[in-house]
Amino acid sequence: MSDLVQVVLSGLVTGGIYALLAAGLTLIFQVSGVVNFAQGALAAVGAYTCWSLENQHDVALVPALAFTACGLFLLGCVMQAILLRRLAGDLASSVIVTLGLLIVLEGGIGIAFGYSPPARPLSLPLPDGQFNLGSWALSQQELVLAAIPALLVGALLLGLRYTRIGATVRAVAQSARGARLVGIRVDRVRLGAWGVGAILAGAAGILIPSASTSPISPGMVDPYLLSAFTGAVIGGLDSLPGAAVGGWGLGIIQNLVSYYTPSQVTNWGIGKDTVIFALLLAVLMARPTGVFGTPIQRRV
Amino acid sequence: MPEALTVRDLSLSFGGIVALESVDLSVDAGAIGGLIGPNGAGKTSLLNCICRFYQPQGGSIRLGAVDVLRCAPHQLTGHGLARTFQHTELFRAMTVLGNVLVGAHTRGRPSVFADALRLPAARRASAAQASLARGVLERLDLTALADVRAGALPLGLQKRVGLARAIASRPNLILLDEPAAGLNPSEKREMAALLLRLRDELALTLLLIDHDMDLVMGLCDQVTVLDFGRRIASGPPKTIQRDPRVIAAYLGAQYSAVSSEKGQ
Amino acid sequence: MKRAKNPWAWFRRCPWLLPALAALVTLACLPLISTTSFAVGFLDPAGTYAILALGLNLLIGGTGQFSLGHAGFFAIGAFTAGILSTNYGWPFWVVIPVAGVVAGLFGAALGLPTLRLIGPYFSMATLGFGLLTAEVLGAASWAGGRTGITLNYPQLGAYTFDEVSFFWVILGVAAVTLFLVWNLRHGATGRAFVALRESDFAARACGIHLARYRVLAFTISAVLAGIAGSLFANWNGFLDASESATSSTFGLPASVAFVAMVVVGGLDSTLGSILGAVFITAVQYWLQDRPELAEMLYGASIVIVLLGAKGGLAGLPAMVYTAWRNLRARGTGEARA
Repeated sequence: MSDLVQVVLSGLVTGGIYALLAAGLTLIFQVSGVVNFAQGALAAVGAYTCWSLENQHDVALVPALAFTACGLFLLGCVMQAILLRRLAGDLASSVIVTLGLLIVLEGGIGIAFGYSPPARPLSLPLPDGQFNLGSWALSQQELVLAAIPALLVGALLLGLRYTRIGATVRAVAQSARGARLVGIRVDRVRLGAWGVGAILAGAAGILIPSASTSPISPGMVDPYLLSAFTGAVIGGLDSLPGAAVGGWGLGIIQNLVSYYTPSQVTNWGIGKDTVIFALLLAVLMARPTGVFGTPIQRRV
Repeated sequence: MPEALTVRDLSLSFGGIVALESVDLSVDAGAIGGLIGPNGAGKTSLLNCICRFYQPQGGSIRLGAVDVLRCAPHQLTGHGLARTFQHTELFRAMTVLGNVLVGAHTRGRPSVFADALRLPAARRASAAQASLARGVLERLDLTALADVRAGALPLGLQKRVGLARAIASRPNLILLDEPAAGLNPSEKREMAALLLRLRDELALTLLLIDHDMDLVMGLCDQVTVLDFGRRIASGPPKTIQRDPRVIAAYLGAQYSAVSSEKGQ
Repeated sequence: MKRAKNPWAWFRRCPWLLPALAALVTLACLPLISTTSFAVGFLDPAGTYAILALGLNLLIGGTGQFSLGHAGFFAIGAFTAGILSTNYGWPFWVVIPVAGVVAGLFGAALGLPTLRLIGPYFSMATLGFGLLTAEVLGAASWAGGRTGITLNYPQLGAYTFDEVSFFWVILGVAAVTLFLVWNLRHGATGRAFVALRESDFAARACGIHLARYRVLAFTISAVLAGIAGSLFANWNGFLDASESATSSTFGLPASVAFVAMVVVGGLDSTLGSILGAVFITAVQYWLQDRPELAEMLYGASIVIVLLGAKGGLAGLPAMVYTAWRNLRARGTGEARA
């Protein structure tokens, strides 16, 4: 039983990363209509910026994080302003363009920092030791790692619900035209959404090395990206809480599958990733707008 | 006179919103029918039901003897139905000729295999389609624009191309969604004259939606009026113009009393 | 009335015949002067991917559905060829069409449920499929598992092809593919594809069967991808999908490269598909020591083309011509055309 709890906790850690990526993805999609494949690259940029500041420039953690956040915000704005505005409305093209951007950004990181992982890892000051809850011994590190995304996503959702800026964003998400008519600067809201989306991606990128205890590399976010997408799609790309829930749920499911799948099945080629992709396909075919999303009505 | 189109008791709703409620409409063969009503009355929804883009919850639609509700959208051309769209919905990247050729898609196209292998049968079929298309272009005075990209044309010409595309399938009945919208007065007169000419030359039946009352009243033999998804009046233009319910629907109840007093 | 048998009348009716034959003959001479590494690095892949790109452009350029999973069909074709050749000893000229059919069946199977998905949802579904296929083929023991599948050199009777001479086979298949795809795209079928892309409501109102044509485009592109995969298996000689989703031959990078070929070559341009395939293969060959740089280059070219030069390589002459005209007009002070 404590095994199960451990697996679920690990699932929440992975799921938290998915949720962060999914939340950023959904926010950007709702406000600007673009499915941003480059989320993964933005996450890697965040990770590398933070790492570089800490390890190459001897900056302390908190200012490094602050600087990274600002940098990512700017990068997100730039992407929206220069690149994606020119594709306004052309949904299919924007998917491919962001995919191209993903490759270019990851390549850029590789050129700047090298493709192989650097010797010194990106370490966060996480507590060691166990936390005892009744008869279960849970890793403190995992608890913290699971909590951080929850706090960030929670803050985002609360901000959207209860602040004026949040209301503005929700207005644009529902109808850009209507928002413009009441005087909302839709372009600025879009820039902001991309900036925040980039920050969320960066947060995911910074957490990944600790969550997977692996060093940073330009492509380190890619394995998480598709699962994040799947989580977002299952939850519904037009529902932010739905997408986040999708991310967490997927993390847990993935871990459970990975833990409990017998090895013969794995030899056939069926593993935790297979389940994810199959799930993605299934959801897209049955209910493309996701569990919590609203079905699309096309009028002519 | 036989009816080309018979709609009985048609009901359509989206979730909780009722778009059409027990609507009856019929158009005699060879006639020009009009469908009017304030915005949101359900006119385009009715057309979309006839074209099978929407699935009505109740009622029946017959195209002559054919039960339309048992057909898929792409099968209706074979039964002699064609349509133009409010926003033209042209294939903008294709040439004018290309658009008309697509309109002629169901009239003698080669099979995919024959097409790929360029078999003589396919070449003959293509040639036949091409001459059909060019005939249509000529009828609508579009021959000079055959190789122009449809998206590059001004609205008036785009509407004409949409019409050409519709008649390329040799229909019996054409549904026209706001054929005159966005046109200036002289273009509207041209459009009206064109529609009359085509109706006479090709033995067509027409059903059109439009907001220009002069156009509708001048062109149509019968007019049906919708308001909030219900049919509120139906008959020849002169009767409709004086019907207090119609006036009320467009201008508000207080005007209908005044108008009927003045005998307008 | 019998037409006089004038051989020159043929050339007048099909003015493309002479240049096409000339091009074909020129290309056929290449293997005579090529080294093995040039054949494996450039000639064979260029031809193979041209076949795939021709099919994929029918889907992406024609019906407008961006598939991010065609590496999956490529892999299915390759591994069908690998398994049938090594386990059952089937000759390559039987295996190649069979591989195409198998990939086509998967294409139809995937095309049907994804029919009505729009833009990004369709891309994600195909992405999922592509990665799923790469995962399964990478891990499964019947697909070679961690050791991969090694094929023998393809044989036709007594003649054994090597990497260089196999280019003739590829060239032949590519020429036939070009013929078929060109005819399709410029005939009623191609028009139906484009009509569905431009306005599926109007297309259906014109009598075009949405499901039939969308699935057809998907299936054809899958068949051609499968054939390309089986050709690849034959000249590469070794199939290894153990890197699964990140494999540059069968995984996401491959699918992206395929999309790049179509986009950079020119969406909906038959010749563009070939140009794009040759371009991307050239980039990969030229930068074979720095594969990540190659990837970056085609990521960048995708972005550049989609943002500024929509016609791609095939549209380059038109773009250059328009730019030159504008420059001249500006020079003489005339209004811009």
